[in-house]
Amino acid sequence: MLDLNNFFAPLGIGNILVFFAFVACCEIIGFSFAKILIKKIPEFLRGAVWLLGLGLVVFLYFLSHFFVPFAFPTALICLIVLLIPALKTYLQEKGWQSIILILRQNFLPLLLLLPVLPLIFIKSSLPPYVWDEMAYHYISPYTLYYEKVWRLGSGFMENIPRLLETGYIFLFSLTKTYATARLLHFSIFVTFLLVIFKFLNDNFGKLPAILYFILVAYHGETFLTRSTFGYVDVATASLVMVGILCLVDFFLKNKFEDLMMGAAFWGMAVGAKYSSLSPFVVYLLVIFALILRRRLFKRKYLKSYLIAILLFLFMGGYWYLKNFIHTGNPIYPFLTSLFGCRFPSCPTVSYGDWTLPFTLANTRAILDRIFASNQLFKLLFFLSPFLAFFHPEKFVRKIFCLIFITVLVEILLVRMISGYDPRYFYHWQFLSVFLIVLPTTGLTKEIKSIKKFLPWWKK
Amino acid sequence: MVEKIIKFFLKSNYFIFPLFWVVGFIWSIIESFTYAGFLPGTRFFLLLAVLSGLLTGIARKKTLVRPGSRFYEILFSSNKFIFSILLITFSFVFLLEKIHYSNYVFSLIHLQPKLLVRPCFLTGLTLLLGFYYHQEKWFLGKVFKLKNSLEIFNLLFALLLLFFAVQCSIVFVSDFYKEEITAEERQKEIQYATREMNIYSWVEKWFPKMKEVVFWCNRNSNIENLTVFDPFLTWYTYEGLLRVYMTNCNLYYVATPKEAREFFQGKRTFKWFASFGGCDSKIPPPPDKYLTIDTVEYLKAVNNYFVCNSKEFLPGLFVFNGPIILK
Repeated sequence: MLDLNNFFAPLGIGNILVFFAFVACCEIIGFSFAKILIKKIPEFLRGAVWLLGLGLVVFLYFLSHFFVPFAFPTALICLIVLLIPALKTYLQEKGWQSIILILRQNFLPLLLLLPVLPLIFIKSSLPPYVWDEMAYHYISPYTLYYEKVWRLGSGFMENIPRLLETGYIFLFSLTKTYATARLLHFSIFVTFLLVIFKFLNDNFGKLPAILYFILVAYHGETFLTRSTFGYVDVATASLVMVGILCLVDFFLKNKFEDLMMGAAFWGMAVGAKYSSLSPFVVYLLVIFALILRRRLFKRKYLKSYLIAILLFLFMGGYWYLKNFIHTGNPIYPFLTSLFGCRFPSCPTVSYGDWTLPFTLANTRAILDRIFASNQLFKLLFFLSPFLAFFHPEKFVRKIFCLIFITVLVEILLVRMISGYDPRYFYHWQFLSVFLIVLPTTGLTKEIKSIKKFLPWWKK
Repeated sequence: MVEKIIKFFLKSNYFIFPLFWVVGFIWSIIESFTYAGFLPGTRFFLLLAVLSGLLTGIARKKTLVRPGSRFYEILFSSNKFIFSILLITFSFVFLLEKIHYSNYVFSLIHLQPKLLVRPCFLTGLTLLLGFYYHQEKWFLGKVFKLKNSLEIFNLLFALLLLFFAVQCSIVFVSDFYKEEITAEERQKEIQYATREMNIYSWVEKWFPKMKEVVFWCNRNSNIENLTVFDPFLTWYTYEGLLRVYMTNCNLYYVATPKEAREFFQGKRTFKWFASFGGCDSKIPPPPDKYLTIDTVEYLKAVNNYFVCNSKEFLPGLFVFNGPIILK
């Protein structure tokens, strides 16, 4: 019989080693998978390739649970089945060289996280203690060992996409503790920060990259603490942001690698939580408009589009396929009036029931929350359009408009089915900081010229 | 044709902008001597002034029209002085009122420092627009070898952002270690992370009333089914979240009257059940027509009936062998 004493251990050397071994496996799987399908991985996404491996491992684990319980052997077999074929490509392509290079380039932002690591260690070590993670994000040891296959009822919680929760279960089955699952959530957030740091550094300069990293990592919403929770919101928003970055890169460079990688990350985002559907719909609209405008509907691109669709399905879209097959409604139990369902009575759930409606009267409350009630933050945000609009670099103005318009369209869309809840719109907070740092593009040189007036600097 | 209309519109804006500017400025100054809302539409005029100011910027950017209004030129040249005077006044008044009282009744000079922000903001923006428009260079621009006047504002903005980022990181890191939890709770967290506290002590600390249920479940030598009818335990209390600590129990929450009725009618059987509260004789037995009653009330009545007809095996854990009343 199971003993509570064997579960929920705090972080220790053993757990941490298992976790890093797991991330290394995901890196190998993700890299090989991306190399085979996409060939050239966009440089700024190199650090996030392990997330693709995570997506694949979770997909296989998800499939396996239609036949066998979650327990340890299942997890190990899933990992080995994917790892062995991937290893060959990884060694041939010398994947470790590029990841070491990326880690070296990201040394500064990693250093900036040092002051908070002790508390992250403590928070990650705790057994389940936050409300919803105990209610449904994490499963009990009993469920891990005795639930034979997926229980697909007609309830709400049984049919929501659970990509990240399945990832948590995977680590729980390997280490018997959620400390590693908490680390996984934290790692996804840090990966996003590193990806955006690299992206901003390469395209906009070091100054916006550093500013962005600090302002998001040390945001008043305390994303760092929240990224150790079982709640999946920070990780979902991180995946949404990586998807948006792919869109921005595609917008700038017109490369199909961005489109394919973007599809993979958007697949993971929508597989993680329904709340990412609203930015995803806007993303689709924008991508569609770009493809039309740039006349990219050509036969030679057909393969890329097919790969993008497949990646989307494998990485997280399968949750919607499963829902469609099981309930008849891909986003069950939402919009049942539109999609219907296979059950005798179709329950309708609406986010509007517990969220703040998007009305003019609530604008101030919503803005207060987005900017963590910080007046200076708000002032900087309202100044940024003015400066971005008159910025000498044309692409800065274009990107500013692109992001601003996507958020506006999202508000128009989402207000029909939901209201505002900070957890569902963390990506707005990430985007608001993006908009704020944009006008500082190209100023790194000028800031450096301050050195002239600081004689001790040279010493 | 369209271009002609746009040109006409932008050209007339050189007259409209100073007009809105003057009205917005006077309105906001008057309000700062009185109180917010003294004059209707202050925000509206300020917004119009800012928008039409932005339009002149667009006109400049696109070189669509040349400036043709004397009114407009006067505004820019006088704005520099107005802004400087206003900024000094604002800082002085703000400090003075901060030292004394921020309340209007106790005010020394009966000015609303907070409301002075509005004309300050308007003149500041206009100053920015003026520098942009006339491609002037400030002292800072010469020092930093900036290409144009606008870069000065970008640089100032960047410096402000840097200051903000440093401030954010200092505040964040110091606050990060003193979250909104008590010192005792933080101590417990540290103890758990450093293995000075085990999982049993953790459960004891956070589940004072239901801990015995978790321990009983852990001691079981067979898998037992454990049912929860108590709506308080299902939805409203932290202690109801014990689900995640179940090792040898299949915990099942009954969440609808229909299901509860099935247990009542004997269609579904159970032996062990958990309840947060004890027997309350004042609560009547569950009614026959369960559809007409609120879910929580019905489940409360069902739970109470079972609790009153069961034996409390351990605190929070009941064993039911009683009769079934509804058929």
